[in-house]
Parts: sequence; structure tokens; C-alpha cells
Amino acid sequence: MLAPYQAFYNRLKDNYPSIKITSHIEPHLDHMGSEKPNIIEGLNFYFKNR
Amino acid sequence: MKTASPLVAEQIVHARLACVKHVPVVLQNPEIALAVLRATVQALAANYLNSRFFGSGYYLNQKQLNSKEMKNILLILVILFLASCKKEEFNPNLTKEFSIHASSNGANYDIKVALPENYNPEATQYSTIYLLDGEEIFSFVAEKSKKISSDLSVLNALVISISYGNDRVNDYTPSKASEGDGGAENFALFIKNDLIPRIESDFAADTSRRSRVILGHSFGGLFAAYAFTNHNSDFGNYIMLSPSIWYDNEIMLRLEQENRNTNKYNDQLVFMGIG
Repeated sequence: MLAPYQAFYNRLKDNYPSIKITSHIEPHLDHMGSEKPNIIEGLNFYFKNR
Repeated sequence: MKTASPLVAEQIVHARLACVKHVPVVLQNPEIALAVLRATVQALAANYLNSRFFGSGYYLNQKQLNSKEMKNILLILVILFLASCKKEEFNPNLTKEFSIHASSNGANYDIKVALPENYNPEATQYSTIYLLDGEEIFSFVAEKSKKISSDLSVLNALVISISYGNDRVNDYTPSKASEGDGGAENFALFIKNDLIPRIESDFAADTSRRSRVILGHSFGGLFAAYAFTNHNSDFGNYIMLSPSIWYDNEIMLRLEQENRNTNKYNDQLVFMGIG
């Protein structure tokens, strides 16, 4: 599932000049286990960069 | 007496350490409790298999745990896990609820809105964070939004939970394929035409695109990606968690390309995460 995710990320990063984008991978957590840690990362990113 | 195999011994030692040293942590974290429980079950199963099928093989010496002790630890962990599964609930005094009808697909959605502490509708306009799978993550996101904004000394946001008024997979999928029926466009129209206007009329919400966030996980993340490509004028911020970009032969890549020229110069804030 990582390849399509990475492809979409690269599309956004490379083609949108006004975008601020980041990708965060939780290497030791699975699909469900990574949800809450990534929510925290996502909220931090939002509140720091909005 | 023969000693346990290195693998079994290691698992037992880890389980013992986790159980003895981290009880307070386990009590606070269901995920950790589940991981410890899983490791203990694996150790117990390995110990049992060694004893049962390799009778001449490995046994535990007195410095390690015997099966009875392992069973006791397992029982304690189960109790701790069940205790830790108490679902956290965001402050009810700061939670507003209503139901809303979707004109696009005919469904009714239960909505929860978490207000910031010291909510002041007369003086402040708040950003809005719209949650997919809201029934599952509302309290967690509301609590974290409160804590993170407080830690960063920035204004908190209104956190809006969207429940399952219709079939989840149908609502979150952009096309009809094996897993879903492709109801994302109707669901997006519900958010755009019914929910956002209601939130921005009933609450002190900033009405600009740049103040709206959409957050989703898995198929919810897929819908957040669809909102980016096909409803970019509705949201300026996207939190996509393990989005199912693989869906329907990666249709999101095609939708992104089709809508790129319309969206490419908009300001965007995008977080993508995966595990």
C-alpha cells in the first residue's frame, strides 16, 4: 500500500507550487495502530503551519 | 533441568518486564496493553508448544517463569486491558450535538461539535476540523486538539464529528468498485451544501476555505484525498491518514491529474501519514 501512497504524495509535492506538505511514516505500527499517532502528528503539523 | 530456548526465554523476560514495570502506562494506553497482551500470549503459546511437542526439549528453570506464573500474568494483563478500554469522552459541557439531513443522498447524520475552552463566539472566529469516522475518534481528536493548541499557545479549533448516516464505504469511495459504490460525490455535496453552512451559521466558525480542515483515516483518508482533488474550494487543509489510494486501480491518481490545473495554485496544507 506504500507505493500508491508515495505516488500520490509525490504528485502533490511536485505539482502544486503553493502547497505545504509533509509525509510521516510510523515504521513500527500497522494500519490501525498508526492511526492515533498520526492524528497527533497531523494536528501538530496543522497547528504549527496554518 | 534444561533451560528454555533463547526465544522463549526472551519473550518471557519481555512479558515479565512489561507487566511489572509498566502497569501505570498499560492502564492509560489500550494499544500498549494489547501489545503486551499479544506478546504474553505468544510467549505462553511458544512455551506450551515446546513442552507439548518437544517433550525432551526445553523446560523453564527456576530463575524464569513457569507456566502457572505465565497464566497469572496473562490473567492480570487481560484485566488491565479491559480496564484500560474505558472509552474516553470529551467534556460533555463543551460538546454540542445535532442531526442533519443530507439533501444529496437522503441520509441523516449525527453531528458532534467540540467547543474550545473559553469559547467566545462574540469575539473570536474559530477554525474548523471536520472528522470522518467521527464516532470512533471524536473524543481523541478533540482532546488532542485542545492539548496541542494549548502547548503551542495557539487558538484551538472547533472539532466536528460526522457520524455514519449512510454506509461508510459508500460515502467515502469516489467510484464504484469491488469495495464501495462510489458515493463520495454525494457525501461531499452534503458537507458542502448542508453541513458547512449549518456549522458556520450556528457556531463562531471562520468561513474562509483556509480555516477548514478535513481529517480521515483509511477510506476516510481516501475521501480526504477526494476532497483535495474534486472539492478543493471547500477545504484548505487536509490530514490524510493511511489513505486508501490503492482503491479502484489508484483512481485518485487519475482524479488528481484531471483536476490539477484547477487546484494547483491554491494554498494547501497537507499532512499525509501511514503505518
